[in-house]
Amino acid sequence: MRALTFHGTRDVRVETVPDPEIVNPRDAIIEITSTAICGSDLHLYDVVIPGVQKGDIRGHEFMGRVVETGPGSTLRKGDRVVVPFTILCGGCFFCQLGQFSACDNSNPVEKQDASEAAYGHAMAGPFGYSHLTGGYPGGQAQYVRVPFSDVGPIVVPDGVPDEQVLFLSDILPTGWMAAENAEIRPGDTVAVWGCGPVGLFAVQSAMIMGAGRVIAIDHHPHRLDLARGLGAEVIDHTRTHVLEALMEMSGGIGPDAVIDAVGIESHGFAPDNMLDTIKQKLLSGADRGHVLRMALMAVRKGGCRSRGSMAGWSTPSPSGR
Amino acid sequence: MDGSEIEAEGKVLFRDAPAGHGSVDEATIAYRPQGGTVGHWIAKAFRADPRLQGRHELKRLKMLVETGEIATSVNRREERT
Repeated sequence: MRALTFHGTRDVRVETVPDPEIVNPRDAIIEITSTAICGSDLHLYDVVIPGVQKGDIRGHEFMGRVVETGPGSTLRKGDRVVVPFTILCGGCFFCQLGQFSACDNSNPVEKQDASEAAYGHAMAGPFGYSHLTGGYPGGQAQYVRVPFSDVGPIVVPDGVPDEQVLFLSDILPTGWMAAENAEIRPGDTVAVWGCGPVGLFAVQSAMIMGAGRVIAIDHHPHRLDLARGLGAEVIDHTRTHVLEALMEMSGGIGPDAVIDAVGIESHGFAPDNMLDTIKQKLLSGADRGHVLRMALMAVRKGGCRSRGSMAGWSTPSPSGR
Repeated sequence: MDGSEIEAEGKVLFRDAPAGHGSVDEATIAYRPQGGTVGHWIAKAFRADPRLQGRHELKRLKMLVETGEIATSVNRREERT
């Protein structure tokens, strides 16, 4: 099959690789019809996240048709499925709590030690990511092997275009969860940093959850236009001092909730971000947490902060409040 | 154990976890490392020491009990070690 594979920093190639097959009983093989690029794919592209190896198949947002199943799968050949980016066993403590992204049993045992040492606990295994998280081949390919296929994949009806359901694989629930974690109360003012796909879904989710105002922050004009079209007020951080603007827009107390939908590759020329950029270039695994720090400073006293994907050791961090 | 390269003995205990969180499986292994202390350090450096291997096997047991399989990220059966 053809697949997008990693070959080095900012070097990915479409190559011919062996087709996947059923390895474990609960596996299914999916023929992929649509796949997307996530913002966190950029962290692999730039090798900000360690543990990537030459030849790894990329991609964790995909959907398609079931073409083969193991004896333990509940899917049927021909089922149309959207596959969540996390691989979840359904039987461990965390899966039973509904904390699927913390699954104990999806990261292969021999690969758990590194993330256990780095983070205190072994990470779960997503598709198409670092070998810290298991090194599972991803879905920017013609076919993919889906472990625990009786748990994760979402069967969707025919007749619904791929574009209307593909985002269930990652960015829609990610944006929703960001808004959920922000504990939004009716009428709250919510600030969202980052108007990429996750940020835009967070904006929409915050509105559905009853936010009175949503203020979206970015610098790409078309992204700001998209946020404005969803009903958000927008700030271009290259033209406006964000903290001052948020204070002014919130009567001087700051937003009730802040959502960082930018994560570990924050942009900007602030001194802390310049320092983080140097650290990140020298040492894979360091975060550029400028937005995280700004969000912490902006949120009102007693407010709620919901953070995006971070991976390394984010220093410094204003934790005085 | 018969056939083992390393002189070892041990026991495995299963007991209830607190708050009804399943069971705790505990393996205690006493072994004489090949090559003494230096041999033990070399084994650890190459991730071949019994403590690490024992921990890995307990995790595989947990996977079998909770999911019925042992997770692997290989794409083809012949790649499985």
